[in-house]
Amino acid sequence: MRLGIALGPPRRTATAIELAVRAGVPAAALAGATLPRLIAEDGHSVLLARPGDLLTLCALDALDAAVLGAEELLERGPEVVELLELEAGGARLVAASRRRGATAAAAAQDDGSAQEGHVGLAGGATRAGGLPGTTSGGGRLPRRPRVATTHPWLTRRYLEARGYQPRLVELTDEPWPAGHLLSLDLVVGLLDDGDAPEPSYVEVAEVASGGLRLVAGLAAHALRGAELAAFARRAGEAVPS
Amino acid sequence: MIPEGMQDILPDEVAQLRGIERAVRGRFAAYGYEEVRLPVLEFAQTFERLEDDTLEAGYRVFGEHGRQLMLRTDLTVGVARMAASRFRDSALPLRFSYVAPACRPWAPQRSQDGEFVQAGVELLGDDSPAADAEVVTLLCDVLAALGLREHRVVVGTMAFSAALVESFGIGDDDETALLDALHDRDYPLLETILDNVGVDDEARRALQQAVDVSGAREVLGHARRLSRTASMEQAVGRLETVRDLVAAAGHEDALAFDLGLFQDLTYYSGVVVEAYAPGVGLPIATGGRYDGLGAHFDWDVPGVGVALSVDRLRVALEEAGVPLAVAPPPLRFVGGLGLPEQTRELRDGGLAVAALPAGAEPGGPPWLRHDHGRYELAPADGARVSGSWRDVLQALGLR
Repeated sequence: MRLGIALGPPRRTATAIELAVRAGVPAAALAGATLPRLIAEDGHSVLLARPGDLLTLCALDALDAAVLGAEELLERGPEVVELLELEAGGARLVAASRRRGATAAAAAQDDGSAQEGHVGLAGGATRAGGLPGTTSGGGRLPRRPRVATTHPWLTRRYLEARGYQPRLVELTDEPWPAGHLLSLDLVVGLLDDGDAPEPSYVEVAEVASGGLRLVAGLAAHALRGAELAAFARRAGEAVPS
Repeated sequence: MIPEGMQDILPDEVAQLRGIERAVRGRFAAYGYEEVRLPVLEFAQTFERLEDDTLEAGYRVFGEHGRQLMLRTDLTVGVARMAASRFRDSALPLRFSYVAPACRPWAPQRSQDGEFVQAGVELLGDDSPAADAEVVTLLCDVLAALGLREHRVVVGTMAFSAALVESFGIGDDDETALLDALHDRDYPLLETILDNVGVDDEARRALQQAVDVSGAREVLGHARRLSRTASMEQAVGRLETVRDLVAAAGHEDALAFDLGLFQDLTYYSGVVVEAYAPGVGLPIATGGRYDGLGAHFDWDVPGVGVALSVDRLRVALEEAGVPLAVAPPPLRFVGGLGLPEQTRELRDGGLAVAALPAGAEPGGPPWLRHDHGRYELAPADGARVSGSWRDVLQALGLR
């Protein structure tokens, strides 16, 4: 078995590794790793890497299967076969604004032109319709917000559906530090279920949420379908009820 | 130097590709498929009328009269267009083959070059399962003839899932959205649509079970048990007939079935087929039945076909360790440009000769040098020969 495990929020990654181990794949040594790493043991190869890389390797038949988040399938529309919804490793793709910056921006923009040029994103009287999950005082969001995100397709789709035309800054790793360096209206990043963005941010919306999925490459599914089905069964049984 | 996604194919690669194409053409001809050559430029409307994003996303240019033209994105559409305009009065069925390039926008994440060569067949005017089986058999035959051993030819049907979704009674728009998500393998979106249209748990389970049906011949029995309507049973029955005919032709070992197999192109309507080989993540061949395609060209004939990706086949053969054709290097004849009679004699004898001017550097063997009436031959293997023209011909086995 050549299995990929996606690097992501820490508890989700730990869950994926644990499930792989319970399903008989020697992935225990990956626990705690935060950088891509490959283990080859007992005829298995296990790769811990970014979800996009795992999907590329599945598409090239370099991996048989991968465990990654449902939002990655939505984001990338990859050509893989979904073997199992693991019902574990829940995570949320969250939009947040910088607490201090957002307040300053709101103050600067609060000149009565909101009806024409801006739509309120968060809380109170300025809450925009169709933005479920917004929390407290994020100020006003320009119609063309500058947004740093690890998931540009989902972010764009989410914001455009609510009348915004985002200017996206695409980042490959955790986007939260970039918010301190760039002048941004929003940062969209992935968090473990139950976690909030770091204290300097205010969560304003939940863009997507979901758990881990087991997927297979098209060729692997066609050529080694029985082996993959057996692994999927074991992985399903490994999920705590 | 060249546009993104395009490639210069160099001599040794061309030799390998030609070897593959020769073998494929041979098998196509053995089944009675006649080769056609179609224009690389079609009217953009030819593809636009199918309302398929993949087919429409091509490179476009304007003709001298301002009409929009498109580099073909697909050969099957071209064959359907050609047959409708030139073979309308011919006896059916018609069998055509092609080995030709098509162009689509470069998609590196899918290992999709901007230009790719397809070798395919189209069988028009026969809507029977036997016609489906012939195309699947031919595909198995080609792959075996090329020397692939661990490949898998996967057969599915668009008709089963279409009949299943129709049985939900959710309205045309939702049905289309659901099938699109299913065909795109966009399972999260599929779940969202199922939630929104309020499909009950039993139907949801049936859909999940249906797309999970894959494996060897026995899975069709499982598919039959999952059938909820006569249309679904009919779809499975057709696959069973195809399976039996392909097995009778001696290709059962390579065959697998997958009711979760769909094709991106919207013209596919019934049985679909893909082939996979180790080391190549994407299918090395795709095809299926496209009974509605002819109607777009006002000739409603059924059709079924398959196209092999010649470039992916080459990778598959390399991965499998199958020796690929190698063209012997030409004999470089120093002084040959000034000796047309001798050069012709060598070429008439079946040798490839690259004539060079006197005094040129020949490089590595094989080469032949003329100098003041004497000749020196350095063959690709073996000892050098010096002497007269007669000696050279003798050493080359031409006299």
